[in-house]
Amino acid sequence: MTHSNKTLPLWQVLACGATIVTLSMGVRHGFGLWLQPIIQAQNWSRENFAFAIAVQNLTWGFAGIFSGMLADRFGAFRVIVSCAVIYMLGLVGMAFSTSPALFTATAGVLIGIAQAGTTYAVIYGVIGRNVSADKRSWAMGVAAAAGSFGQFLMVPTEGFLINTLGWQQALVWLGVATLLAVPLAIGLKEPGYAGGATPQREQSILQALREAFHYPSFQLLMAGYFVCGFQVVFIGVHMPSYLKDHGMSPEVASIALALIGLFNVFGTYAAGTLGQRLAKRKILAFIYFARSVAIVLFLLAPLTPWNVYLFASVMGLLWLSTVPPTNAVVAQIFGVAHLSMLGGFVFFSHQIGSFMGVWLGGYLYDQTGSYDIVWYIAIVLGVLAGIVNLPVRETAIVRSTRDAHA
Amino acid sequence: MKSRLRQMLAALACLLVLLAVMAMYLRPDFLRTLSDQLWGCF
Repeated sequence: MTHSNKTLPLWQVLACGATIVTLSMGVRHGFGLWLQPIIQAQNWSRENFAFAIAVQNLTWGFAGIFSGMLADRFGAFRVIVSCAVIYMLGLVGMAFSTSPALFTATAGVLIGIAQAGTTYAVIYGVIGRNVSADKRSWAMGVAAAAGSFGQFLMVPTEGFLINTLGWQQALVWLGVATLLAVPLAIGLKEPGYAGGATPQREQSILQALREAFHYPSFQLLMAGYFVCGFQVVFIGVHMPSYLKDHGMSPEVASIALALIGLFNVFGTYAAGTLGQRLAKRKILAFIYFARSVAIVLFLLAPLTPWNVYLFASVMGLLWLSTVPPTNAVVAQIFGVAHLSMLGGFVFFSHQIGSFMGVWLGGYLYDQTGSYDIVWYIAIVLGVLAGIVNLPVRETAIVRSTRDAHA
Repeated sequence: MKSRLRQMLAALACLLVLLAVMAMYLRPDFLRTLSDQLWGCF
């Protein structure tokens, strides 16, 4: 790849990128708080609301591939600005949707697209191109920790907005807040893309895709990330119901989710920092094995509030900590020319896993009357993900001139 | 030495912000709202 040698200052990339991710990840994380007000005001069913959020998650994963391609080709700035405007339209549309179909189009499709262009894959592309390899994993950890902080911060903030402004106005003001990403994106305007220029790359999109999908380590990383999505969303969505079934008070589930959010910030930062010193495949394997061990101990131990808090804290440390090492390995193997697109593909696998985790959790609960089988699946998948990450080759791929121009 | 002190201050500031957010979760009225919302989903 022959990008301009000029790069953006590290502090600028981190300050602007991290704030955009904080906003973008945070705003959608509190959507559950709108469930009751919206379905009551519109006289819709929970299924209407849940369907739109499911569509949003799948759209986010699918659109991530294309927003990544566009960001690699035309620069992150244009993608972030467009998606910030789409985010605002999605939130305002969500506030004024008069039918479930329109709600799905706005809260589901528009916000899913907006997420794809304002979160990790696109921001990590900028980090990859502008931060030297000796600080890249750490910088990705900072951005991931910012996203985790956004999720942690925005739930009570949105609760406050709903209580003071009403659910509709709260959505409109959040829409206005997402436009803050526009001035922040100026800080991510890369010199290599100045004046509408597109940097010359040694591979086309198709060549990069062919190379990645024929490279076993990329497939292994995608498989691991699928498990990450499965476990995280299954626990995030179904754990409150599991606790309720076992006679826990509602406050225990709320505090558990808050602890997951708090420790997630530490975990993502630590994983990024450790990735600078240790083999990332070993960090990833450790995270997946540790999740399985944590779930086994949680199921074996007596279910008390303190055990729930301990489990939530440990899972919080392991929650999104897979994000920096996974993306840093992709950059290390394939380089940064197509990093956003390849990151988008890996994230798509994560979102399919998320969908399976939430859906299978509900389906198997309905079939068997308990979450036992899904917990066992989560344990086995964690072990498998740990095993498949161990043989990942982190060294840069060697390309012959013939390969690059084939 | 100066940069180490700066790093420690930054870490302390981050920790205080995180604890402040955690305190928002633990406010009884918000805890009740969040619990109602969570339970309302099931």
